[in-house]
Amino acid sequence: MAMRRRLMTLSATILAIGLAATTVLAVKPEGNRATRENGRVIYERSCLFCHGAEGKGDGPAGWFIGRYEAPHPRDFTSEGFKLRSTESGSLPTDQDLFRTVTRGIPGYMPSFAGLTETERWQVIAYVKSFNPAFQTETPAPLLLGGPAPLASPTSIETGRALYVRFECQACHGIDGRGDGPVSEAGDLKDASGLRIFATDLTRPLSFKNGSSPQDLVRTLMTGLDGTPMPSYAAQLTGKEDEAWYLAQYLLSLSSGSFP
Amino acid sequence: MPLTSLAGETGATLVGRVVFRGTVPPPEVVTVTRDPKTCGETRTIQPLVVHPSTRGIQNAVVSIEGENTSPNTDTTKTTAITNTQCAFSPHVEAIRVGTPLEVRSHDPVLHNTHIMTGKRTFLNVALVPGGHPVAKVIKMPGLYHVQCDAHVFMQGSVVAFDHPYYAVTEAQGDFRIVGVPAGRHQVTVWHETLGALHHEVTVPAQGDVSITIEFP
Ligand code: HEC
Ligand code: HEC
Repeated sequence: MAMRRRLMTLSATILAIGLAATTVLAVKPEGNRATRENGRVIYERSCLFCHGAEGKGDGPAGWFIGRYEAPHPRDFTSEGFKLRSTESGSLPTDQDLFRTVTRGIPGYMPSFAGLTETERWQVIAYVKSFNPAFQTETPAPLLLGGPAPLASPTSIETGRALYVRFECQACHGIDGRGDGPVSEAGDLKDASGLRIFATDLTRPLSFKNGSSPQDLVRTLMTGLDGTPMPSYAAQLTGKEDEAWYLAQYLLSLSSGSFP
Repeated sequence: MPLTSLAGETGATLVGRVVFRGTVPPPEVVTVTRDPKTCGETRTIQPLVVHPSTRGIQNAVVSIEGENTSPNTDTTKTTAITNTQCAFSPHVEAIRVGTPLEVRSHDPVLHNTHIMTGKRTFLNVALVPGGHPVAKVIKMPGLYHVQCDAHVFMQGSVVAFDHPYYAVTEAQGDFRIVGVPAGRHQVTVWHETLGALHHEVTVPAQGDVSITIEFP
């Protein structure tokens, strides 16, 4: 566990650097053969080591990541995606993939903000070619509607009440430390049947899907596919304020320790 | 052989029973650690439900292989899975591609209905007490596994077909598929623990055909 924590802190730094570079978007190259071919070259240099030559998540890194330890690098050919703006079970949008590649995944995948934006789009076009579903499905982002209300003691208190009413504590624990009874019992599994843990919500820099209020609302609306973290969209649609209050409460859990 | 007619309009009716002659393994008894008021103190898990007198197997899915991929025109139909007393009702559901699958809960506790096909999530939604049901159209034929991560003993299955020739066996092991076109067909039976079995059948233009399919 201590080892895992250290890893996370290290990549949190990478994440912070990654974020700075995401603001301007270069013109996205067309998703044609030349783009994919350029993407393949980048993939083989930067991604193959973990995700494998055929995108099956079985690159040489697996030799020391540990066969039974989650998460495995994503298998692009058959698995869904955790980090999306789309409804549960949908593929991610291109923007979602761009965000993932740019930011990386704290603790598990480095940020690729060092690639130019064009290179990132190219590698994304190549990654998408591993799964034919990208040809037939048209993922659409969920609308997160409405501006964020200001955080106040009342909004945070409302967020806490929602946390309890939505039984987040079953998995994340009443204090959000990731020690809910279902997680402690070892009942949580990912899409490969490997044991995973509910996130410690007091450590926002470890969040894979980001930790701004917008990021948290997105996580709550979409859920993380391939994990037990469910979508709360049906319970929050039309009640955007509640989603923001919940996000504000989550951020308040770390306001003491968070720089 | 392509199946061209729509079920219910013309053709024969295939009736039958799926039976099990072997020894039924003892059920698994699970101690409930969460929400015992709603879920009970223990759960008896027996996926192989065999009727004591007919030996019929409940919850087997019977289907006829076909190439009828004619689109599902009945858009009014919804198939629902209800979370009730910490179980999925029905435990096994068969559905036609193009039909919305609705998940809902009657329980006063949090469930998440998490449906996977292979390693890909089809749907994973939180159902809070008094909250809204969620519906999503099934677009791909195949086997969907249903679970609740908050109560791991809750398991179920949905099998989706791109044709109308399927049925789920009832308590005595009986099934009935209407509108089957004449000809030789391959009947497939699937059960969650027994696996799949195939059976040839010749169907006349009209009338009933009766078959008994035996596991193992
Ligand atoms: C050090 C190993 C490593 C490298 C190098 C790496 N990845 Fe990953 N990647 C992972 C792991 C591990 C996951 C799964 C994390 C999880 O499921 O929590 C992942 C997941 C992903 C996902 C899925 C995110 C989601 O929404 O589920 C995408 C997309 C992705 N990687 C793209 C890339 C691309 C493109 C490259 C190269 C530019 C790359 N990765 C390089 C380890 C790596
Ligand atoms: C059935 C168990 C379960 C329930 C209920 C649940 N979560 Fe989660 N949650 C998880 C798991 C497991 C993960 C970790 C997924 C991973 O690491 O890939 C997670 C991850 C998260 C994350 C971090 C996402 C990231 O970016 O890494 C947040 C934030 C979160 N949950 C908030 C909530 C809130 C708020 C609720 C209640 C509204 C809730 N969760 C309900 C299991 C659950």
